[in-house]
Amino acid sequence: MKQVILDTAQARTPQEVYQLVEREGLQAGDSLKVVQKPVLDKQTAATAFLIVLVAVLWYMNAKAKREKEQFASDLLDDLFKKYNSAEELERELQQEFNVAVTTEIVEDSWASDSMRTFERAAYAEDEPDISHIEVKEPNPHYRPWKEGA
Amino acid sequence: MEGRRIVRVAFQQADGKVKLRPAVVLKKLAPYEDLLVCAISSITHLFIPDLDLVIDKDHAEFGSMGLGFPALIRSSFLTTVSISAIQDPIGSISADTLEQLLSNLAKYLSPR
Repeated sequence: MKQVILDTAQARTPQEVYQLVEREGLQAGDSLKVVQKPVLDKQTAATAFLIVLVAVLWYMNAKAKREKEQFASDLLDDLFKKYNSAEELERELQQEFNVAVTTEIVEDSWASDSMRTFERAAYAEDEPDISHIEVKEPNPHYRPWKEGA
Repeated sequence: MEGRRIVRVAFQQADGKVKLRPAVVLKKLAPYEDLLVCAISSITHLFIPDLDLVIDKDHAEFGSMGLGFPALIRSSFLTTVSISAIQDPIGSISADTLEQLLSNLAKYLSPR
């Protein structure tokens, strides 16, 4: 029994997910950790997670049946007809193949470190406070950092 | 979020606190909604001739910048940030000023 880590930043398509779990030799009884970067908004993260689960479930089914045909059509059928939620997919992976799925949101430390270095280099420690400046046009994409996160 | 906007970039510190720092958007980068920005600081004495721009109280765009203090647009301090780290536009520079910034940078980087 082993743990296979699937980073959605590395495996972005169903085909890449399939190739990754095939390369890692995911099999019944293993656990699967799905790692996602915090830059994804909730809807995108949920969609990416769903695609991962469908691709992994298809892989496990194909492995069990020793079939690799009709990948695209099976995947689309699963996405739009068979399953209603990620929970259903997780449950089937667990019940049918004893594959436990966990998720983890990881901070991209390189990017964070780079941003902090840039901030220290480009700005003085005692720059004026600009938090009070009036908003001209709110950015709907802004995702506030959680203090202490 | 278009070029010319003056924005606040949220820089998360190692202790989890956030520093808001001003920057000017130079360009939106495809395919994601990342933005190429350059830093705007209050430390105007670090001005690099023919590269940086000082927007002081006598400058025509001091008001439209929205900062309220003399500022140095540091053209050599460029970074790419996710739009999710951009809090909001607080002001803007003119198309001519953006053009000047880009021109300064192009000349500075070009082989002599």
